[in-house]
Amino acid sequence: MIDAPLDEKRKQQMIDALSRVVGKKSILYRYEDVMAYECDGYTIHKGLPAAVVFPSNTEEVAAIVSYLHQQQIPFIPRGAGTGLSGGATALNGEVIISLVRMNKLLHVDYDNRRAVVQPGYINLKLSNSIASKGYYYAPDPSSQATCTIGGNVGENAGGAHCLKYGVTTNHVLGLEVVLPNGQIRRFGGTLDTPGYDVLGLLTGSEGTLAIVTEITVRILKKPQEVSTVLALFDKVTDASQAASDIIACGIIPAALEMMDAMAIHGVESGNYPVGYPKDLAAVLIIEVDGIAAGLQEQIEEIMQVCKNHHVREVRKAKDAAERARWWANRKTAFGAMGTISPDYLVQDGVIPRSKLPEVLERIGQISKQYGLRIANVFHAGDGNLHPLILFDSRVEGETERAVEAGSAVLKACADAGGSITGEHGVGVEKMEDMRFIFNDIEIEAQMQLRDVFNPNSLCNPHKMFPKPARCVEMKRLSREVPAVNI
Amino acid sequence: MQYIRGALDLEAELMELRQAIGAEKVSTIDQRPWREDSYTLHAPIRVTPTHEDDIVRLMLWASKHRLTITPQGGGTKDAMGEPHTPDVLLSMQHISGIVDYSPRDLTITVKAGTSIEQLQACLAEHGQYIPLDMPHAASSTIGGVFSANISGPRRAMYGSARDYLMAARVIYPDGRLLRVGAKVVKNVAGYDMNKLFIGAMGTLGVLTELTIRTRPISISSGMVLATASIDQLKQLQKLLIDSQLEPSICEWLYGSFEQPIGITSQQPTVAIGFDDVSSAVQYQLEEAQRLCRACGIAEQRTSSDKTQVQTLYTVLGQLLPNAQQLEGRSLIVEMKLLSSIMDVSKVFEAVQSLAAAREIALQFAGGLYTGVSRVIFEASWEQQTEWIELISDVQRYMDSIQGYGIVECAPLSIRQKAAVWGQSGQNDELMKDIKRTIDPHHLLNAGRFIGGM
Ligand SMILES: Cc1cc2nc3c(=O)[nH]c(=O)nc-3n(C[C@@H](O)[C@H](O)[C@H](O)COP(=O)(O)OP(=O)(O)OC[C@H]3O[C@@H](n4cnc5c(N)ncnc54)[C@H](O)[C@@H]3O)c2cc1C
Ligand SMILES: Cc1cc2nc3c(=O)[nH]c(=O)nc-3n(C[C@@H](O)[C@H](O)[C@H](O)COP(=O)(O)OP(=O)(O)OC[C@H]3O[C@@H](n4cnc5c(N)ncnc54)[C@H](O)[C@@H]3O)c2cc1C
Ligand SMILES: Cc1cc2nc3c(=O)[nH]c(=O)nc-3n(C[C@H](O)[C@H](O)[C@H](O)COP(=O)(O)OP(=O)(O)OC[C@H]3O[C@@H](n4cnc5c(N)ncnc54)[C@H](O)[C@@H]3O)c2cc1C
Repeated sequence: MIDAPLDEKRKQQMIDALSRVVGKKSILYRYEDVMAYECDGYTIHKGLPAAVVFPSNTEEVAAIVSYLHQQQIPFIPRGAGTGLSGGATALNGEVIISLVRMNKLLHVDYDNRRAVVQPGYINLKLSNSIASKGYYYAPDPSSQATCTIGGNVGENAGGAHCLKYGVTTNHVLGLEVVLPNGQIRRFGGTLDTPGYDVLGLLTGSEGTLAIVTEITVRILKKPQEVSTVLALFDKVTDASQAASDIIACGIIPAALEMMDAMAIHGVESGNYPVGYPKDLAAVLIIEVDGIAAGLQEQIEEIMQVCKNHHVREVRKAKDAAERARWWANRKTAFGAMGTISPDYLVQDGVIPRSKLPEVLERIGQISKQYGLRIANVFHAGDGNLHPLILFDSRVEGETERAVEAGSAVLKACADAGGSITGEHGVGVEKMEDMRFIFNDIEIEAQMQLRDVFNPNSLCNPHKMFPKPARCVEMKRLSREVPAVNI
Repeated sequence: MQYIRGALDLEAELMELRQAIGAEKVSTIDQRPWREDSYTLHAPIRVTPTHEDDIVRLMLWASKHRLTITPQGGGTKDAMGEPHTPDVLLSMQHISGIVDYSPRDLTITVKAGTSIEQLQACLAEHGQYIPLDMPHAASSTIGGVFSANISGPRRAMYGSARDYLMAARVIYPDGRLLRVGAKVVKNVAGYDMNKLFIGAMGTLGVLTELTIRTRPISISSGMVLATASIDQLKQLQKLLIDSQLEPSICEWLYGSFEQPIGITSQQPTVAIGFDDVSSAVQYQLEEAQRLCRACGIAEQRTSSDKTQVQTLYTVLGQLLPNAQQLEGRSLIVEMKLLSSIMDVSKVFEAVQSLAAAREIALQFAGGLYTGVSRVIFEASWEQQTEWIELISDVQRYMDSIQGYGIVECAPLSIRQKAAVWGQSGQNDELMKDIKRTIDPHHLLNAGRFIGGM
């Protein structure tokens, strides 16, 4: 594999060859054009791709990949570039294969509750297109108005409503992919297709195993009724205890979201203020859905749990408009941080729900220790935290401190028995943090699997795994195995 | 037929193994004759480890001597897969027990040999369960259930094994022990390695410990059973799929197992079940009845008695044959048929006519919200040649509708001749590469899985 930026001559040859596949208008390579692709939603690491190509169908993707494979030039699939861990960023002048022009809804099969989309199709467009028939697509990342379903498969994206309905992997029924050697393959189609669950393995592989070119997803009938409760708390521990108790008492809400004081300060300064009282410590948004006849019972139980934990105020959304306001406020939380801080870094650790109070306290300590404000806005029902570390990159050393604080937060999650990422992926950002939860043998086993699909790591190289894992591992294995006494 | 290698040929190797893990965990049977009508697995060596470490040592020993191993939980799926002749049967039954249960987090960690019965009993104390409707609960093990990718009728709402496994400990054939996944409900760190072991039939590694999500047992349950013609059922399925009802089971049933539920008609029956708070169950039962009437379906029975509903789940579960209890009975073949949901009715009509032409009796259960159907054929042993044709005709039909037909249970004689996993596919090479990477010497469940893996 060519692991350094291409020289001018080879670059020109490549551009000529790829232009023959996609046409001159569908490839960018001048500095000012590729600048827009220097990073994704994770802005701390940047790098310029050698070129950005825009195939318009699977055959073109296969032709591009076959050529790059033959030339051993590395490449990266990219959707909307909203990823939050640097997965779609070119670190060493790779070629970016952008799927945004493959943006069609190919087929909706209501009878079988499924839809077939191209990878560049925008998440929210799917729900919008099938809404008139009463259907929707359940995974709803907060970025759903922009991110692509291909990128969702890449990251196994989640969202506020994944607590009840599951994340992307629970909704992907079939995939067509181009393997890193240019072959086109299909997986899934029915449930439980014979053989290993490659579909499951590809989902969330961050573009390191294959390029997804078509996706069959499950669509669901919209629930008969939705009911949303807002609960305002004076203490963070009360709110997190209530969140944990709601689940423990047997209710599985469609969504259970939490924001702390700093996050509330952020969203209230943003475009969709709800008018939360200024002195609030935490807010919970709890949504239940399903058969209308059963919802009132659940709402009453949820309100009772909140009351048991000294809620200041708890009320049900009076109509769809009010619910929409609460959600707009919540779903734009990340962006709203821009109004209270020049930069922010979002983390994505997961912990067992019952550990919420202690981990939130630990995050408070980390905030003090690094002298950086941390806002918490997160999927409390899943225990998926999103601490937003607020910093100012113009201040010398503050970016580094933010990165270190982020790592400390992930360590705290790992120590609580959790994971370093629940939905944003490892990408470039958390490669080293993988060591908090996996040892060398476990990382090596994953890399071996990558090699089955992507033997020279041409497809999205240098992502997901900590750097020297392989050599350390090889040494260990060769030393250890024969030494074990049987 | 005899074992390829008998225990007597392996005395020196066995000595080494006994020293490594303890003689009491190793037993041998030599020269056991094979029988064509057998549904169960046999091997000259049986190892019953009591600790994960024993398995690591066993693997290292087997790698060194290139001996093949088949893990066995309850052995209820012994008759699944290509016929194969392992040197060692690895019994998981003493790797059992609850490791950690956090009811508040709705997660439990158990050792792989724990029986489903023990697991569900432990969960029930806290009003929870795992809604996979696993049959033969006393003998099935949790490791076996996830390795064989079990799901029951309640999959319509709750999903299948792949939606429940959060983390596991796995031992690779070269003795490497790894942890996959994370013990939290959401995790995307690294590849989703859990998926690799679900449904892999123990061909990639031995699961020793699993962390699984649990669910609260719903407050109330109810069920509508209605007998109907095929046309009525097709119409009903369309109405249901397009409705906002949330059935936890919706199965199309045909065959003699209906009696215990109270409907004895020879027509197919649809079972529509709901789990929810009682007001929502009541509402949905009434709606389901209304939809049935709209399709002209007159004969209906409704129950909102939880025990009765539970009985139906059990009946459906027991429908699947247990390999340990089939010898000496008439010839039984069970197939899993995978299709799109609207094709379930076509699948039923096709298998029914294929079987009728050969005077073979059948039972059928098709998931109207999942596209997962199961058919159980039963006939006398004399009809063996017709069986192979029947199986391949069913598979050809499934192929024609972009589906799959897998033989999940059949005696050795049938499995020797039929393509139990169906036609080989475009992805077999890739699957074989996965297998080769993890198990280069084909030590685990050698030859049992698709493509003779
Ligand atoms: C509605 C319904 C649907 C069902 N659907 C299915 C189905 O789709 N498929 C099916 O097979 N059964 C199905 N069953 C039956 C199922 O519950 C079996 O009883 C269960 O799979 C077997 O458990 P066991 O411990 O007896 O496994 P065994 O028969 O002992 O083993 C099954 C397989 O798993 C391997 N294995 C066992 N333990 C381990 C381990 N710890 N690590 C690695 N590999 C291991 C074995 O080598 C073997 O390949 C269904 C039951 C019901 C009620
Ligand atoms: C842990 C968990 C808990 C859940 N709890 C609830 C809950 O309480 N309430 C609720 O409403 N939902 C719940 N869901 C969502 C559940 O309804 C989803 O169907 C689930 O994610 C299915 O996962 P699966 O891939 O195993 O498919 P399965 O559950 O096995 O398949 C069922 C669904 O698949 C679709 N389907 C099946 N076969 C086909 C086919 N051939 N073509 C097209 N579509 C097909 C159907 O739409 C059907 O609804 C839950 C999901 C999970 C993971
Ligand atoms: C404001 C904001 C809110 C967010 N909220 C959420 C949230 O609630 N939940 C959540 O899960 N995420 C969230 N994200 C993260 C991000 O939106 C998701 O990860 C999303 O799935 C990325 O989609 P994308 O199209 O932007 O993909 P990209 O960022 O372009 O790519 C993401 C990864 O997938 C790979 N990839 C892209 N397309 C393909 C393909 N066709 N085939 C193979 N690999 C591919 C890339 O190589 C990369 O590794 C948020 C991001 C922002 C900016």
